[in-house]
Amino acid sequence: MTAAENDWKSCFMELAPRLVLYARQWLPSMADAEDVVQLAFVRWWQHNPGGDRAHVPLLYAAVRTISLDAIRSDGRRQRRELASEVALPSEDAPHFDPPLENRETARLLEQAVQRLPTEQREVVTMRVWGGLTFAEIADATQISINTVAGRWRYALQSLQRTLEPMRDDLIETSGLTAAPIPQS
Amino acid sequence: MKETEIENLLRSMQPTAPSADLLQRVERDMQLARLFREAAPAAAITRRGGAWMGRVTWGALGAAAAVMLMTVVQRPQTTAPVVASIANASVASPVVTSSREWVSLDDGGIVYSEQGEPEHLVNVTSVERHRWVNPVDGAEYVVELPMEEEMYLPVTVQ
Repeated sequence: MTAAENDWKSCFMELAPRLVLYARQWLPSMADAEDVVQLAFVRWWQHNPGGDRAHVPLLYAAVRTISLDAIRSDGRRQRRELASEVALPSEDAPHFDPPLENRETARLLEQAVQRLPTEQREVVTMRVWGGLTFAEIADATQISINTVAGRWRYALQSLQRTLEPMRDDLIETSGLTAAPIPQS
Repeated sequence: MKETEIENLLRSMQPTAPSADLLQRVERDMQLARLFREAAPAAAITRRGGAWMGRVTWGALGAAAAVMLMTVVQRPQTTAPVVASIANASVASPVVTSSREWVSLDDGGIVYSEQGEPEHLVNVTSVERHRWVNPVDGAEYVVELPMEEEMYLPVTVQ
């Protein structure tokens, strides 16, 4: 195996789970999301051999574009299939792969994230799991950095409201250390 | 619940790993792209006999209706304006640049030649771009030819 092959493989192994998660913002089916990631990654690597990390936002932008295109064509396909009364298989593969003891935490968090509006969820996914900065997210999504920051803030506030009643359970089961509650 | 706690909770979750099949599919595409890069300079793109016209669909139509972008770089005219035409441009002006942009590669699987040899079929979509500059009025002509072709790569290691 050549060094170049090792390069793309290690890059792919690192990025693929995050990219699939990102694609699933629009395409719930794991298989559809993987198809998108396959196409986007190969194209990205052709234009960016070596996988320069400064160009990762472009890869997210490619995943976004191809996903949205897929939705459009899928809408047509689904209309045809509904018309022919063929049942579509549902895909509800989990978005996260938690350790056994954190399954419940993962389920609660996943539900809370899924309840966010799409545009807020997109920013959360890119920032938390994609590790992108606000500027990079703005670049990839073609929106202003202020809008990105606003969506992030609203998303956190929304998650805060949803998860507050479960705070102690979540902190305990996740194994994280709780931040001290300010005295007021 | 503090925002940092929420962030930490979210970050503690690992996205589900994609299927092993995905890596294999990407590997196959990478291999095809590499084969294409190696084969393209040697003009390995072949079109098969009389079936060519049948196979070329939108590419041929696109070529027939070649997008004629006349990015007229008008210079101050000292003579009467010249009515430009494709024929005039191609005859009077040398081709300044020609380039070919590869748009996509699709795996067509293994096929067998008339001699029974296995070959890897790759459907290639590309755009040829030719630019002329009319020396009379400085107008620049850009012709874009979208193409769909079939490339047959010899199967050496399978």
